[in-house]
Amino acid sequence: MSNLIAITLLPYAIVIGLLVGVYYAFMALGLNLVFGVVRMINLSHGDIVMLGSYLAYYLLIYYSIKEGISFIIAFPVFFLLGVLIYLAFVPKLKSSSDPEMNSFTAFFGLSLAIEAISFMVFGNYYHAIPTSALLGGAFNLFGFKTPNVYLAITLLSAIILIITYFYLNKTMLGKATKALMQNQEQAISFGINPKWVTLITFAYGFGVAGMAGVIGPYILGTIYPSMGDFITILAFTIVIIGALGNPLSTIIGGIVFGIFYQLLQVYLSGLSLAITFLALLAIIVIKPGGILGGVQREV
Amino acid sequence: MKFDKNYLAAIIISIIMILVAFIGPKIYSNEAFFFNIIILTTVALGLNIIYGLTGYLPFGYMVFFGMGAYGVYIGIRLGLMPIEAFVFGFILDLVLALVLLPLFRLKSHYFAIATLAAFEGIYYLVQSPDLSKFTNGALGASLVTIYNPNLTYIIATVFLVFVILLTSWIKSSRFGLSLRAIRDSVISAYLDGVNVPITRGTAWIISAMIASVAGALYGWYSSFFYPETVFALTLGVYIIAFVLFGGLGTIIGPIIGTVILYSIYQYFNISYTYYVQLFFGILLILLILFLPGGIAQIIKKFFKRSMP
Repeated sequence: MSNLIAITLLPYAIVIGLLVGVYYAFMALGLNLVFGVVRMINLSHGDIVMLGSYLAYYLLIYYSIKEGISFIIAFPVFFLLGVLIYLAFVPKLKSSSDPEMNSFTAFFGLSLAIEAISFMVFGNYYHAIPTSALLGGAFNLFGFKTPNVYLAITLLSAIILIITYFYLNKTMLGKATKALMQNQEQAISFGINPKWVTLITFAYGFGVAGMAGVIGPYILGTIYPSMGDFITILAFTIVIIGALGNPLSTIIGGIVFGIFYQLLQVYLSGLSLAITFLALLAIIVIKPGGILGGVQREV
Repeated sequence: MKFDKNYLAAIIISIIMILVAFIGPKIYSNEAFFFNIIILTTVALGLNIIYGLTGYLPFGYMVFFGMGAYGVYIGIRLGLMPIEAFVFGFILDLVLALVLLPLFRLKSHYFAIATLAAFEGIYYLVQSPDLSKFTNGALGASLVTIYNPNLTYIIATVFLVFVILLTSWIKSSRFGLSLRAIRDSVISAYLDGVNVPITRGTAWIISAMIASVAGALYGWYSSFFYPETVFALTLGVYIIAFVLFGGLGTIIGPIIGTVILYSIYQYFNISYTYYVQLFFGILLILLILFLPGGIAQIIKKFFKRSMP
């Protein structure tokens, strides 16, 4: 790459990184909400996102339902799925000998199962959703033709992030959730019923993950049954750049990651994933609670 | 030397495994199947040391397996003799294991995900076109020049026996007792005077080195492999299922688990890949939720005896 192109690409990469970063924050939000209330890493998070993409694809192809409407339909669908998964997994895991480690394995098992069923139901094919299903056209950004769909995705992601912000900060249920995430024992002693709050937030996390899946294909690439593994670890990277257990810090995590990753892809594409994961490793070792989080270490 | 049932069990299992390794291929003429059983049993026992005996789950454990295989390849590519290349791969893995030691300061789920990050990082590094000068990137590594399946088969069997005996020694030694103390509670282990960092660090290095040697032998035997064949995350998770199924922290458990579940995997995987994946997914969930002790737990319940 010549120096001139490399330099003119810089502002473009930063702006695109910023736009996509808002989506990344939204995509990772569910993982952090779930972690915040049950202290379990939902390794099937990426598979929920994948199912959201398939929901959008099938609604569009078979029922001609536009992306914008699927986006809304996805929430109750995946909220219900979240309730079912919560009831099947969480109470049993909470009472096991090491909930954190065991939940890791159990949710990976769930991820394997969802992926396998998806292969059987959707087939071993790549699917794509045409951009025009959400928003066609393109605009000019620093001399580069950029599809309008980026703006639409950023806008939709921002709306959900803002709603989540108001939910957590302005409603009683949201405040109870935040209290529970910060100090479980104290929250309970103030009369918060942890079961309901946990269940609703857990399911809400699944709901927004499914919604992120609906508009995901434009950012994450073609739809494929095993795309979930990569999305999970991407979401985890974003969450840990912010702070684990603090959903709103995910916004910063998403934007930082979006710009960082875009720059890597422009300037060091061959090593972008290796650097991303080794950076994640370094962050976990130095600040396990995330860059913006407190320190969570054992002896 | 104290002679308890652990040693007796280990010797009997070793003899059975030797018989299986050398008579098996004469009955069912698929030597590669038996070789895979030997290698995966070794890996399962290696994982058992850090997961079953010490209580830490390294989700990206297969990184050592992959590095072991690629270490040999990189060594050969740099012009080393075969033996030197093996030592080179071993040292690469040793360095990696030492670099990852600080991960033990993390809580258990952070530990699991940090090893996963290490796995992904190294995997993408090996697969990257920018480093293909050393690794040949995604095009795969060939060890045809030193291909010697008969010798590899014998070495792998000997190594498996060594790992079985090593596990039984650990289980009945003071070192193993310290590991068990750490598994039950790190804080009480400290209070009881166990040097926690040194003890679990040693277990970690032993565990990592077992996977490293197994990976090197696997690479040598198959003589050609892609990054994703040796950095096999899903297979690594299946190995967690093998260990859990047989019984965490026992000697027989990981072996029985591997032999039974790998046979199922091998038999069905080609025509029913997704059913196998579904089976392992559900098996993992059920084991964790309802039978965390695996077969060993059933034996303990019905025969009132603990499995060695």
